[in-house]
Order: sequence, then structure tokens, then C-alpha cells
Amino acid sequence: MSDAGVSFVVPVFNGRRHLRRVLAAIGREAAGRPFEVLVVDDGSSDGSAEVPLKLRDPDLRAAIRLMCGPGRGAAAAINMGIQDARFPIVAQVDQDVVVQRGWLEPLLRALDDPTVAAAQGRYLVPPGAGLWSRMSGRDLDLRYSSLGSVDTDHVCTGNTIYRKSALHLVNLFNEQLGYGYDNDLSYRLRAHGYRLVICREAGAYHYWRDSFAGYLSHQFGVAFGRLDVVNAHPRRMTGDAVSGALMLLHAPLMLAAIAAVVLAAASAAVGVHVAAGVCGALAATLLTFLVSERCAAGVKAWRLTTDRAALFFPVAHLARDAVWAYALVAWMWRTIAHGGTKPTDSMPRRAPDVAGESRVVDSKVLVLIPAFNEAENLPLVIADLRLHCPSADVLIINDASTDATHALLPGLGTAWLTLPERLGIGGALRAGLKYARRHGYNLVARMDGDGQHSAGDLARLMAPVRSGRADAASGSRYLRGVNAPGARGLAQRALALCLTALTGRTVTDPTSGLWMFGPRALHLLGDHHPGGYPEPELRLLLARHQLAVREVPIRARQRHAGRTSLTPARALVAFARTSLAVLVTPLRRRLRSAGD
Amino acid sequence: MTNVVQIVAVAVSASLLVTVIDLVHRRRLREEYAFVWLIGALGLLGLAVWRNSLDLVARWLGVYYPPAVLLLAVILAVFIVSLYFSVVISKQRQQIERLVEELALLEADVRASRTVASTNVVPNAAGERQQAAGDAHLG
Repeated sequence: MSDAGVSFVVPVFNGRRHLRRVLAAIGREAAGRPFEVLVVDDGSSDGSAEVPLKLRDPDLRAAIRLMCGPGRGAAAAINMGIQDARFPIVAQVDQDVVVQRGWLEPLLRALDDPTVAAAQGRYLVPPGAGLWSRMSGRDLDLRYSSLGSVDTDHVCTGNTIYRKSALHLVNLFNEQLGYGYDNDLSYRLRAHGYRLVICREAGAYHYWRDSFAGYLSHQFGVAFGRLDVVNAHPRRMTGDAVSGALMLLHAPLMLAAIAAVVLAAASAAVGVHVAAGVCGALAATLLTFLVSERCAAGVKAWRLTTDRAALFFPVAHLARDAVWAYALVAWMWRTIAHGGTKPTDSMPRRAPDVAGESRVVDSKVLVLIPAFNEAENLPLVIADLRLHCPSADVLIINDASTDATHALLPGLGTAWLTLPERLGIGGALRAGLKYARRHGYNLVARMDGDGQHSAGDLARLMAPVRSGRADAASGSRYLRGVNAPGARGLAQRALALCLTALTGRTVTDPTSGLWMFGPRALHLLGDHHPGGYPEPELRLLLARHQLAVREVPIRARQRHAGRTSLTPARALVAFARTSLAVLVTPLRRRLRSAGD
Repeated sequence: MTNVVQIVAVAVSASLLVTVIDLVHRRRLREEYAFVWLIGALGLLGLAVWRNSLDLVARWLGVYYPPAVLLLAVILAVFIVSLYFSVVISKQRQQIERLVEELALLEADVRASRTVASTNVVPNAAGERQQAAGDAHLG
């Protein structure tokens, strides 16, 4: 195993802060063996996706594959990476874990034994870490120190290498879990007879969220995920080797203590002093037990690690227990009231509408062609479409043309709309998108009527939207590094940079007119597709509603005939409009589409 | 002299007020847009009746030439009114765009149902003819 190739899978969601160090450490560890790094960006808005592109080490840059995650949580993102992994070993490293020198070798040696499915490294507290990080780290140190041997029944993700065949055998991670998917996988691997081991020699720095609020929100997720796991594996009610029964008991005991305090206060207020006394005594007993247990643990951890941060355990873990009690109530409420939990429930940072089925099953595609005085080009465009996308339905939106377009339409063999007044591209597209919605289309493409887009490119735009990896795809003429010449190219690039910064996703062609929209984009844009010269504003609008846009390289052609409507004066107006949109759109409230 | 100015000013403001009310009365001006003008006309009337108010406001603002305050107020009022109308026009433009979109969709629907209707009529007519022929044959 020691010379085997390794596929690193790094799921990323707004992890720009440590990502460069994480990737550089991976590159250093993997040097000298075949490897690849699958960075699965799950819709970050902080520009995480650009970090891999800016790495200095050319070998590492070449080994990185940047993937666009499905936006359904970490487990789904990791699964996507595993499914695309080329090598038999999958090393799963989190966006806040920096592996240390000599991390990979001992882990690979552990996997030499064919019964071992996964080997986890040891989490280290980075130097200069704050109090909260140190406390989290010391807690882990203490919990792992109680493990008798290297064998365990639970390995965490994020600092771990897996045998890919074993992962496929148990059907990868459970994507329904937000946190706790690593516990779930560990239990399932063990049930298949695999061994899981911990290598103390393989160290990795873990950069925790170093604040009280960060600590508590992390703990909420941990507790919520644990409840999902226990629900799926009832026999694990008493925990595992790393998180024992005593630790899990903290949550219900804390909940009981809080309930006792509330009852005592209520009884005292009503005047039933006996009940108040009993409840108060119960609460005091429970809290004393919890605090003294944590005091003992703190002292033990301090002796073990000589870090005095461990002495804060009683205070911090009491707050943690309160959050766990809250998570217990929230979990029960969601399970009873909403009939189950979603992976997003343990992760408050994700918008709820990102979850759920996003693969587009219905393959009916409608191609919208907004046309103003394109009578000469339309027949050629339609012929091109019939050749390359014979199954697609076509809707031409005649934007009050003054040439022969109107007479031409019935003979083209497509559906068409005729706007009685000229609305411009935005209005024409809104009408077309409404038509698509009312006729039950789930995938809608947009191409220009002047013949500058090839229908062959349209087919390639369909893939990311149909697979659910993006809500919209846009054809980019400049993704392969060739830019438009002259002042126009310069303006395009400036706009692209600006949009990249604002949307957190790489934009190379801000004015592309070739698009593919998925169901969620369709729902939004039928009412709210921007007008004017809408393409840059469209990007901002989609980003504002957390819809993922993916660029696909296309070839640009010259228009077949006629002239572009973009004169210098109009370009100036377009520039002014776009600048205003750039300033205003990120500040606007999110829109709700009315539907039909 | 001053009395003559005052009388003219009161008369003009009052007639402006009456005109606005009359326009509303004859439904030539909708109520929501009439309020802007009513407030303007009432303000002018107030100034005409109580002329000292202009001097008071000017002194309070520290303006040496009182009529400048009047000009300032008028410019501000016109500015606000035109901003208001821009908002109204924007809203109307959005409504028109929606209507145009819906009209185009409706026209396509009508066209589609007409095509269905016309394709349905032909076989029915043929069937009737056949039936008639059958009847004749029987007869």
C-alpha cells in the first residue's frame, strides 16, 4: 500500500481562511507518489474556489480538480469526490485541517492490513490557538487517550484515509445526515466486519472556530447529528469508544436540570413551596453532578497535556450541555412536528431551499430565442437546433420586430410568442420563462437569434444543470483564456472581475447570451428576470438567491447577417445600468416568486 | 399696493385649489395624484393670506431675502413631485410589461386552441358527410 496512489477529497464551504495551507500541506505530504486532490466547492460565497487556482506549486495545481458540489451538505460533497476518485485510497481532509509532516505514511501502513477500512490521524492543537480551540483539542486528547489500543469503533472524517472499495461496499456516506455522517459510516463499516484504527503518529492541526459562538454552534450541530445517528443505529444509544455513555448522558441530564429549575421557579411563584424545594434540590444535585464530573475530566486533561485551558472544562461544558439540551428539544420537535430531520437542520448556515432532490429527472427542454428583427438569421438558427438538439422544443419570442419576422414565424415549425410592444431581452425572456413554467418544462435554454451561438454548445450546457450540480449554466467565450480584443475586451474583463468578487464564483464571460436554467432558476426568473442588458445583473440576482451558476466553455461565432444592436452610445447606457445594478442588487431583499 | 398683490395671490391660489377639486370632481384627475396638488395649492393659499409667515421662516433660516425661501420651497416641491411621478411611471412601466407578456402568452394560447378546434372540425364534418351518405343509402 505504501506506494499506492491517493485521492484526496476536500469538501469546501466558505473555507477560504485556511484552504491555502490545507492544500499546500497535502501537496507536501503526497509528493513523490501518484495523487490527485478533489476540491469539492459546495457553493462557497467567499471565493474559496479561487484558492486552488492561485497556488504557487505547479505540480499541486496540476493535481487539483475543482468540482462544483451538489449543495446538499458535506456528506453529499464528499460522496461526489469519492465517486470521481481515481485511486484506491481516499484521503478525506477537511477545509480546516492542516496535515503535518509524516501524516500519510503511518496511515497507509495501517491500511496494508486488508481488514482495515479506515485509519484516522490524531488531531493536534495548532500553536497560538485561542482558548476555545485549545479546550476543544484537549477534550479530544482526553477522549482519545482512554482508547486502549489502536482499534476503535469510530473514526472522524476530515483527518482520515479510507479504502475506496470498502466505502463503495457500504454505499458511501449517508447524505441525509448533516453532522454525524462519520459515526454512521464507521458503524456500518464495522458491521461489515472491517476494522477502524487510529494512528497517533499521524498528526494534523485542526483549526476550530475560535469563539464562544462558534464553539456553541458547532456543538449544536454535533448534538443534532448525534441524535440522527442514534435514531438510525438505536444500539449506539450508549455511544462509542470515543464518545462514551457518560458524555452522551450530559444532554438529557442537563435538560432534566433545566426543567427542574423551571418547575421550581413556577412552583415558588404559585406558592407551592414543597414542590419548589424538591425541584430545586433535584436541579442542584444534577448540576453538581455534571460540574464535578467535568471538573474531574478537566484536571485529568490538564495532567495529561499540561495545558491549563483544560481547567475551563466545567464552565465551557456546562454551556455546551445547555446547547445539547436545546438540540435535544429541537431535534424532537422537528422529528415530531415535521416528520423527520433534514441534513440542513444541524447546519443553520445553509439556506433551507438548497436541500432536497435537485437532480432534474424530466428531460423536456425548451429553447427560448428572443428575436428582434432577425428574419434573416432565424431559419439558420432553427436549422442548427434541429440538427444538434432534435428533441428540444423551441419557442421564438418575437419582440415586436418590424421586419419580416412575423410573417416568417408560422413556417418555421416552432412555437412562438409575439410581443405587441417592444420590451427588450429581459421582458421577452420573462414571457418565455412564464410560457415554460405554464407548459411544465423543467429545463430552459436561452440562445440568441443572430446565430452567434452554436446549438452543439447548448447540449454541453445541459449536463451540469441536468445532473443537479448547478441551477444554471452559462456559456463562456473566454473560459479558455482568449479574451475579446480592444477596449471592449478590457471592459468585459473588468466587469468579470467585479462580478467574480461580488458573487464569489468565477465569472469569465459576464455578457454571455447562451444559458441553461434549471427548475429553481426558472421559478425565480419567470417573474424577476432583469431587463435592459440583463446578463450581468442576472448573475448577481442568481448569486443573491444562492443559486449556483456554472460556466461552460463555448465557441463564439460572428452573427450570420445584420448588425448588432449594441452601438457605442447604447454600450455606455448598458455600462451605467450595470454599474447601478452591481451596487444595488446585493443590497436588495430576496424576492419571492409568486408562481402561477 | 401690497393689498393688490395679496388679493391677486389669494385669488390665484384659490382658483388653483378650485381647479384641482374640479378636476377630481370631473374624474379627470385621480384622487391619489390630486393630493400632491391640493397640498401645494393649500400651501400657496396659506402664504398668500398670512404673508408674514414668509418673513418669519426666512428669519428663522437666516435668509436675508425672504422671496428666496419661496423659490426654494417651490423648487423642492417640484423636485418631490417629479420624483413621485417617476416612481409612478416606473410602476406603470412594470405593469405594461407584465400586460404585454401576458397578452403574448394569451395570444399563443388562443392560436393553439384555434388550431386544435380547426383540426377537430374537419374529421367531424367528414363523419357527418359519411353518415348522411349512409342514411341516403338506407333510404
